[in-house]
Amino acid sequence: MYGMIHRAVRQMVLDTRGEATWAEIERAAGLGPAEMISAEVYDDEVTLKLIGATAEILAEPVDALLLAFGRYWISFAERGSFGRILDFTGTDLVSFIGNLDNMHRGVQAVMPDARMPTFHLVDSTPGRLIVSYASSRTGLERFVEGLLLGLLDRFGLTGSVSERPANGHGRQFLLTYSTI
Amino acid sequence: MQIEIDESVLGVLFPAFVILDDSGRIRQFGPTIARRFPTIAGGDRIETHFTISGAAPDGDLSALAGSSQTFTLVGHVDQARLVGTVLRCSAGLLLTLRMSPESFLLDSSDYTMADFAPGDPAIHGLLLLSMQRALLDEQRTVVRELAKERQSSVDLLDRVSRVAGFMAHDFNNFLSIIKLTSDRMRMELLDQPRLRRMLDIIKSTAARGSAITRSLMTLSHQRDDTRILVSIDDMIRDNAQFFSTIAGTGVQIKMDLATTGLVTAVSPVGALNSLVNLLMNARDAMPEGGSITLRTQVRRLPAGAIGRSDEASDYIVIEVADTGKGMAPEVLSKAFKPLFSTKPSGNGLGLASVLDFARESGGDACIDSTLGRGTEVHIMLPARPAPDVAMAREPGLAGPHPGSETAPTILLVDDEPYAIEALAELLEAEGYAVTACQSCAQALVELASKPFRILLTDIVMPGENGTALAEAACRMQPDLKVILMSGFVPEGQSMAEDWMFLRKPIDTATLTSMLRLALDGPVAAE
Repeated sequence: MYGMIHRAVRQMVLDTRGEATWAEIERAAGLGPAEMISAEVYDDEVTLKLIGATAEILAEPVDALLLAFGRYWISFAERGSFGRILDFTGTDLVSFIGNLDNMHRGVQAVMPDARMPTFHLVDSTPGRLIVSYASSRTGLERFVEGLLLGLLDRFGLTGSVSERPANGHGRQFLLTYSTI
Repeated sequence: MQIEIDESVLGVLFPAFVILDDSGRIRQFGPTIARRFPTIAGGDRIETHFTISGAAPDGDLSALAGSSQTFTLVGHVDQARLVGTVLRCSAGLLLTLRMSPESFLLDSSDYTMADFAPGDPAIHGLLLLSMQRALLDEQRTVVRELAKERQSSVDLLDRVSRVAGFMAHDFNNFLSIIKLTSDRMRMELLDQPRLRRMLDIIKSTAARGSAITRSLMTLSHQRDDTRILVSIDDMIRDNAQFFSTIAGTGVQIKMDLATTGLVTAVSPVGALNSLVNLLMNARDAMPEGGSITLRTQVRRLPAGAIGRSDEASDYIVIEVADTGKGMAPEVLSKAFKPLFSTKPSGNGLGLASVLDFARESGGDACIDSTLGRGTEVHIMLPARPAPDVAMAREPGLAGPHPGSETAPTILLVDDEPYAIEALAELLEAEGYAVTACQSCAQALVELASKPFRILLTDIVMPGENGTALAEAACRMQPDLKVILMSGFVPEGQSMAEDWMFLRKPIDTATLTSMLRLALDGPVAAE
């Protein structure tokens, strides 16, 4: 994965637990500044090692960590260099999710080694969305769930996200929400 | 051609569409127009909000209907540009407009994807440039972080280095006391071989402790070299065979040594390493063979020519000249830089260490080289006349005689009482008259009251500084010989060119030979 994912994990730990905890995670994962270069592609094993060490040091199940990290990723991206790109993608939840693939195509043009997931709005009614998700990676469903919760936060909505049985390709998530 | 499209579909295909009625007034408009031009209302004339270009001079757009000719609208308020074509529809004219970014930088606009029709190439262009800018920003942040990280590592290493240095200092002091006391006991136990054997074990263990302190000193960038007076000519002559071996069979070494009677205060190990480095470079520059000239001469250099010298001084110049391929100017300009090397397996430290050695010894080094004609490296070292060399070399006259009324006087300064006790006893046994002081203040009082031949002082003492004492002592007694001793030399300590330096833990044999050297003159470095 790209180093920006590692940077986001680091920032989440720094924001929530402080520098000493991050130093502990770095030592446990055997990582350092060389693995924190945004545009560098690292083997997925490096990322998994980082996630594993973070979960262990924070004493959290990996699924819970992935959920929290997905939610954090949205706020991390909007505060950083990619903030304007998020704004460009959409100003409301429905248009944002509808344009995600479009945005990912633009990202891939600059980061050709990125393996981007695809999102599709299966159904959209007021306060309720069904979003399909497909990726060449497996095991990131809780991260995606966190991302969708992060999007609710971003657009000032309150609600829930749950995975629902899907037929065929990919996974599906149900978002129910209302304005805060 | 007239088309009819449902308004909701129209809004997706052309988010910035506008429908004009037959009188040219705005009848309907798309979501992008509504968002970006909130003052537009149905019934307004299009010219009220936009400047039209690409249409007829009177702004009549109907002439363009059905053609592929595009026209441009530029907003009066925010100069936003819309480009499109004109189609006829049942309500009048359909303007199929799309946003036309003046700049493809998202930062300077408030566009969203919804402002563009699906598949509009502007989306891809905006994303591409914005991603590149975002990644550049990210990279700048990463570079700043890495620089900060590097600085933190340097600071940490510096702190560790200083701690290591002070640990080495204390450890070396203790080892010195153990070694010196063992030597004292050994002299008392001449007829007790079993106890002497035990003392040997103690000394040997102390020597192993010295190896640990050397590691600590390496960590604190301390040189492990003892600095003594050396005759460079003698050193070169004594190592001539060794030098020939380094040069190899195809290279002839010619010697032209002309500094007899002069010495310089240097680390013999450093001097020898420097010459070996230069000979290896010369050999490598002559793969087909050639000759190396090792020349020494005395040269008087004007004030300020080297370091902070404030008057003209004599220097021993060691020249190593080869007949090899020489260096191009761009290579020559970097030759002394650490880590620079033109050799495939070179580490770029050889010439850099030669320059370090020369400067640490109060001198300098320089290179002359011409491509195709060879290279000359010059090392300049402060010269001083050798004392009576003949006396020093004559067997049986090397040391003073215990109890002699003319016993050379030594002012010994060290804050460690056990070190003072051991050193004083050993030196007195060697025939010196020792005055021992545990502080610099006490030593200055002694210096004011009587003359001494040698000042033997520790450098690092609580609240005091051995080099400052030596400077004051030399002002009070200009003929005084100085030997500094320490297990750790803090940064900023400068030593006069003719002072000698003895690394702790002290080896008795090295100390006594250095004292003789200070009094009588130099020997060749081995």
